[in-house]
Amino acid sequence: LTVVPAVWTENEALDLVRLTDGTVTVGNPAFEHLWTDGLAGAYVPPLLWSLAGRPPGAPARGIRDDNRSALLPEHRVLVGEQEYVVAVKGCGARYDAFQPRKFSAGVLREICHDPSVRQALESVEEDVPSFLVGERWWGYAPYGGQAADNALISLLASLRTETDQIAGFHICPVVAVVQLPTRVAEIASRFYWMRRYDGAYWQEIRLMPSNVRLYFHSPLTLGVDPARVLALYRLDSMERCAAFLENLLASALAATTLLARTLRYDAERGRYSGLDFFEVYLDKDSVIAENGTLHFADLEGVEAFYGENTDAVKERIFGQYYQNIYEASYAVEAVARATWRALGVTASDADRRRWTLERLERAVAGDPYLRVDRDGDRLTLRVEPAVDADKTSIDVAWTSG
Amino acid sequence: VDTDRAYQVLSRLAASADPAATADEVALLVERSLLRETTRPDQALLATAASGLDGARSSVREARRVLDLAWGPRTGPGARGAGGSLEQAQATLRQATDALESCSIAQATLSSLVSNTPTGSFLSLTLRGRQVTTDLEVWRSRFGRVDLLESIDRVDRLRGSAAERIRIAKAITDSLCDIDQNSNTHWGIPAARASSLLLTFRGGDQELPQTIAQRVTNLYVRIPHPQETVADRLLIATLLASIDPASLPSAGAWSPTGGTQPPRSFLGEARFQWAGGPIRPVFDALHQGLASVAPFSSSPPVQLNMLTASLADLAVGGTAPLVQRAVSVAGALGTVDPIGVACLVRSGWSADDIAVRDGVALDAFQRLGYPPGDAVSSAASVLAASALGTAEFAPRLAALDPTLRSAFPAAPVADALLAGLPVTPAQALLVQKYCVAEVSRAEFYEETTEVDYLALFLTVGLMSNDPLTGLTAAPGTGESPFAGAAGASLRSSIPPPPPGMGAAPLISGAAVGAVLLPALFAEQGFWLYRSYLDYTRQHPVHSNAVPIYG
Repeated sequence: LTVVPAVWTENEALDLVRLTDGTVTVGNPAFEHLWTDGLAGAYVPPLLWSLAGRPPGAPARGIRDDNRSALLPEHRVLVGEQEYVVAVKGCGARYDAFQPRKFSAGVLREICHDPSVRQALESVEEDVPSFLVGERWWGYAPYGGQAADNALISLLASLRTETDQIAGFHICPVVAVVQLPTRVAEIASRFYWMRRYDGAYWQEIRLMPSNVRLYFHSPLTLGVDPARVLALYRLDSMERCAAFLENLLASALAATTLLARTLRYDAERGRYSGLDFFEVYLDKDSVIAENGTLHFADLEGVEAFYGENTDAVKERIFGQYYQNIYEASYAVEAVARATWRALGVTASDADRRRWTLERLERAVAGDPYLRVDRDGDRLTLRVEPAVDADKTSIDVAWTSG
Repeated sequence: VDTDRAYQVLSRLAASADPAATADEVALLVERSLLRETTRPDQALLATAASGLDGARSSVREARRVLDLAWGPRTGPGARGAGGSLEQAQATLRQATDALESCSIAQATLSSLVSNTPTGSFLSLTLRGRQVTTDLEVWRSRFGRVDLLESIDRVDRLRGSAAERIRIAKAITDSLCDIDQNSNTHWGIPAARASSLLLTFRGGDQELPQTIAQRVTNLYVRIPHPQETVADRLLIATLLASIDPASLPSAGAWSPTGGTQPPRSFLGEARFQWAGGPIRPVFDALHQGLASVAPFSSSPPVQLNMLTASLADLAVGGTAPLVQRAVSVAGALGTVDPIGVACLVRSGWSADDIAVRDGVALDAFQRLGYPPGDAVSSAASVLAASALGTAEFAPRLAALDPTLRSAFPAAPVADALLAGLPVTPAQALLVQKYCVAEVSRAEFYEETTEVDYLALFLTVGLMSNDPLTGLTAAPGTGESPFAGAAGASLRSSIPPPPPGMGAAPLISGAAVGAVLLPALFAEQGFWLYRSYLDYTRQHPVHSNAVPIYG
């Protein structure tokens, strides 16, 4: 077994308190064995825990990830050959939702709608590294936390596999979703700027192979710092870079053709269904593993598409590919350029493009849903969906030549 | 092997054409790791191994389809299949995947082979071979008819020199950052990095990075004018610290007029004395001299300080002719812009020449579509100060600008810097690419967007010293970081100064003052983007993520 280690780049340390009493958990049976005494529970910011009356809890230390998540590097698990770090999504935000400033006791006093809680904030430290508030934010989620439906959609997407990939589409599997204790939620709901969130407060406990995203929301991203990503992943030879790029290509193309891979025909209802992306994007919602495999992290936006006929299916496969392929190819180009720069093959742009196309051909050689048609610098992909491929296949362009 | 012949063989291979190389040529190129040779029987074996590719591919695809269809939701539409054949499909997939991998490797190797008629064998380029092909494509015209090994050695020395400069710059940066942590300087790592790289092109010898960093600090903390930004102050300190200590007069022995020390000390009372002597009286005298005459008497303090620092090395030989020259240049340019004046003071061009050349340069930038402004004005001066004939301005800029325009906000300055180098535009761009590779590989940057600027400093510094002609050796690698970078071996691309001006210490000035100074100015503008970049990378409020942050 060759283990692909989990990797993470430095970010702020984050103290949390793990609570078990009063929580509600909905778990993924495939990862039930992970839900042990040392991990199970909800993770809340210390100040929120304190304001909620300090219910029984255990200290936990994480590394900030994105604006409302944390990695728990002490908890690492193997799924197949990939090592993952356990992460919590919805454990409090770092930044004010309306101004470019970090949370502080002063900010919280400004948005607190409960005089007694506001009074309690007079005696706390000014620096507040993280807090969960009751502002009704994107959709129905509380700012810094997670809503029940979003969390459960993530879990449902994860339940479509017992591993970490759905027909070649690699995901950050959800281990469990957890509802926060009532008292904690009550306190959080008293903080908001404009619109109060009235729902329950949930979190996702998920597995991440790294905290290196494609372009946004990480201290280190493939798009902004490709050379540093190469260094972090020890990509110091042409062979290693080629293998990394092939994994990136295979997984990124799997993401852009997710619907085709998961397409099924429901004879009862006389319609097709498959997975699609709803307001989630590769650039900020996916992370790159140490071997280059792109893992989609934000499964709350991975839901079923329904198509009444083959035309609707073909149209959506086409739309899904072109909606996401720019971000995927940006990452591929970034890695190829960084490889060329790092290895000193600096002047042959045409060579680099050919090399990238060769990597792509190798990357999808065994992909059951893609066939490559290459003519010089032109490369077309034939997308052959999982069912009724004779009626639903389409051609899409990687490069027009 | 002759360089031209080797290039012919390598470039034909790169184009997958029969290179028609003799057995001796093949043997030498293989020995140098530029080629791989495959015999005809081995090629046949590869072809056999690769022939199973389609079959292996189909097996993998079929097995994966079976496995994927067997999984799905536990209930409802598209529920999991019975899974009876799962184990068999998994076993098939494992075997087929191994076969696919072997066939793919054989096919990739096979497709890289090119038949070579004279030897009856097959050849393919190595990574090193590709690098050398690229190098020769650009440089061979400059090398003339020399042996291939000599050509490779020259390019390797150029690349090695870039790597060594960065190694030294990193050491100086580390020292500057150590100081920054324990003092009140606040210059930050990116500024220290730029400063350090400039200091690797300084004159002088046998100094440790810590010594250089301490000298920068001593100068930096004694610049009193509050108008100056941190970047400005660090630039002034860097320029002064880059002056070859050996060029300075001994302590107390120097006076510009033979009289007493100047009454007002710009740098305070501290004495900056190192091996050769103090810089303070030199700087003060020049500052005093410039400030006392028009048009510099009405210069903004920041500009005057910058100009003084960038010309201080020339003042060691006396300030009066230098001030006179600066006044003459400023008159010809119609500006007191420190970049323009500093560059042109050092050039050998007369005031009349300067006016004409500056006009031609401005016109060339206008034809590229750049509106008049500070960047174009400075860039025109840089170009006017070069050794180029004016007829070369426009075509050189036209060759460089399309590439540089996308990389630099102050692209005209970068255009002018590379256009003025003693190489063709293609060669300048290639060296810029080498330097980008070195900066990236050495991780000598914080944000990726710093890479091109730092590479520009490196390119200009290296090419001003013209290492391809063999005049400049890479700095040594021992305890003394500047061993081997003897000042006398440095050569600027610009003409020597007029007789009687500046005397010997043009060494650092030629590299730092006239050529790299505008590069650093260009970088200062860039720093404006940094805080914005830091902000957008992690904060939810950016253009795409406001409504979709999750």
